[in-house]
Amino acid sequence: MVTIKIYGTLRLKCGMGQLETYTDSIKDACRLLALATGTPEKEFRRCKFAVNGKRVGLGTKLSDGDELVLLAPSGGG
Amino acid sequence: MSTNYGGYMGKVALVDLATGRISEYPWTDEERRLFIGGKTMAAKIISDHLSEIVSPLDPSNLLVVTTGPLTGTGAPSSSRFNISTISPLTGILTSSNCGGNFGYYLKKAGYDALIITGRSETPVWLQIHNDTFRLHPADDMWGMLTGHVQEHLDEKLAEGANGRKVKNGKIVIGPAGENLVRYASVVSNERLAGRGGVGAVMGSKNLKAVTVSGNKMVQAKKPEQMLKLNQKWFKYLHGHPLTGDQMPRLGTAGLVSAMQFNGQLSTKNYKYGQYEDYEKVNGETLAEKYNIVNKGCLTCPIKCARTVEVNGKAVKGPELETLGLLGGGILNNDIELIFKWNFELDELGMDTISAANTLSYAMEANEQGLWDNGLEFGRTETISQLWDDIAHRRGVGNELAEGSRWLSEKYGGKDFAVHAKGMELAAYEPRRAVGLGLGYATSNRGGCHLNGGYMVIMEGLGLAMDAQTPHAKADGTVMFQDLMECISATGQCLFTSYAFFPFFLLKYPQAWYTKAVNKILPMAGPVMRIINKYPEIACIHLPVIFNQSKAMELATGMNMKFGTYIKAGKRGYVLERLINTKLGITAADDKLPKRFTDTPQVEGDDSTKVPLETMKKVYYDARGFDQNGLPKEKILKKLKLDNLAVAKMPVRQPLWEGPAAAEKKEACADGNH
Ligand code: SF4
Repeated sequence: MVTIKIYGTLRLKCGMGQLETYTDSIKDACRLLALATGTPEKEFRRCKFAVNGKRVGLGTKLSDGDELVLLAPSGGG
Repeated sequence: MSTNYGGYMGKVALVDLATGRISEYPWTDEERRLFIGGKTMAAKIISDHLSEIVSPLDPSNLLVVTTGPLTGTGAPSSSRFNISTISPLTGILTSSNCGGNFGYYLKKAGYDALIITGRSETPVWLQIHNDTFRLHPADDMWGMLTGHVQEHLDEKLAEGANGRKVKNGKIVIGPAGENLVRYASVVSNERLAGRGGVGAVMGSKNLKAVTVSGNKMVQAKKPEQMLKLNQKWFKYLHGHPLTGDQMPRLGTAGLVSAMQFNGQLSTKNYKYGQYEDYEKVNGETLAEKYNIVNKGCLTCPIKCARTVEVNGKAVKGPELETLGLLGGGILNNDIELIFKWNFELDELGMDTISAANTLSYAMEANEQGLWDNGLEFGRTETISQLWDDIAHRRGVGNELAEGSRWLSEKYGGKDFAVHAKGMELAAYEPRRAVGLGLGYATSNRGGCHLNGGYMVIMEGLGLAMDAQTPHAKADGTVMFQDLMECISATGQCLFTSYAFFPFFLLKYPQAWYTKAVNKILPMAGPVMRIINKYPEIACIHLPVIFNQSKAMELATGMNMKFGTYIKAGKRGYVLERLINTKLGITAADDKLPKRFTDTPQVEGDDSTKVPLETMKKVYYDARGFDQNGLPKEKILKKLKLDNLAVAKMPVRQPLWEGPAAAEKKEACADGNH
């Protein structure tokens, strides 16, 4: 089981902050999020990612118990 | 005095509260061209009188309220006004920017700026309507909270207009300003000129409030072209991912999660960069559960302000700084408490950043056994009372009212008193954005992220250049400090500058071109150096992404291109530095607490310290300063600052008074010389 958390404006747009699911890669997680929320997959794929607090790229594999964070583009304040 | 430039009203008012005398302050078109408006104009005015100012809270100090030439022209987010003075918190020049409507109405009354000097014997408020200035007793308002006094003033104005509501702008202070809290703010509507203790200076003059109204119109030099540009500009800001999406949807609070993600979120008085309960105090939680409506300053399409409920009343929600510093900063995970405290601090008229940081310093000093004050991280039940005690200078509040530098001089713990030149830092932890660390250290008003150039927007919040490398950070800092200086001088909100970053770089952080830009940026120092040294070579307007220079040209009729715009900002920045150097500031003051420079945030990883001294050397070079941080003759000449009175002035004794000076004064008063 992987816990996926979404931050930034994408969370408001897709109406979901957290999803717990079985998945083995970030790419697949994006596909699942698109299915679950009806938001285009590309919106998730363009985020910044972190797994267990470490910044990673889109091609990263996931393991059971991981926490994947998706952060929509942000800046300024 | 009038002006040949558009955008300006052509007059500056000088009010002497000691004598009640009102006069017009001379301000020429040449000064308008060189010093634009806002904080730059204010710096020039203060520089001309610097030798006469005895101390920040002395009647001789000037409180200079300035607008910019874009205010009232319909340019987006252009209603900001500025208050500058010599700060009681730092002892050097401070400038505090505010989004309330005072500036807009000051221009409607026919004035570009208002200078207040002297001290009234008794509390007063000043009423301005067009060219009529009246001082009224304010004894009945002394002690009132900022919201209450604004309502009260509206009633008074209506009384004088046969019950008719008078459209007006206001600046007021609360009890904190009256009681000379060193970080007291000035309030206009729900917005604050928060930083540097401008409210204490207003309080020291016994001035509770100023109201202003009028019926004049701001005329742009080329109104039709200006209108067209504004329409395009609004559209561009609406379509940009930061100004059209993130800021309206989440406000500045939207950055809490991003900062957590990057290790940049001040936690436990900046000891750490991540807060485990950040989800309870972030912008998403605020937006999903609490935000009632977005609000904004006049003519702003971004509308970054939130509205939340406190005690059944809709009030302004907290900014990122307040959420960060009164959340993780003191280990508090109750967002509703932050709403309440934010409201209380606004009502008392106090800067939330300095108040929060002073509190977290005190908590750590207590934890380390340096100062037994009863304050503990995570213990929140006494804090509302504490704000009131600070504002009224009661008990421990009386000491907290002095700010963290003062306290660390008295009790020790300078390594974790998180300020630069006496001003407390914003919520960004600089060890994971070292360019921002340089900005904090060199910022003219002290520890400010925005005045410091806001390099963090390239170091993980926005773009993602290497946040730990010192490469290109010095030149980037100079460039953005100058750019933001001019944006502010024109009366615009600094947040419009975020649209300077092309949307595709922000929207597609995983794209190859974004990654390439992030990789190249640390090597771009030499290119930025060319702009920094020879801004005038950029003799074009940057299309689409940067409308500011074109807007200035159309509004004022000045010959202004991107390069001249940057140069005007540079002039302002160097002038402010020049003033500060005459008040004793040198390279030794451009520093950060050792927590950031000597202790890595990640144990064993020295790259998570701020390599400040390395960056400072390059910074001074890029600025045209010597290695002691003093502007060289060459840069003063180039910016036409060499003939100003301040350039010829000898260096004065520092104007900041620490606990030692206070003790000495007390001893003298007791006759124990
Ligand atoms: S972006 Fe926010 S602070 Fe700036 S002018 Fe707009 S509402 Fe005011």
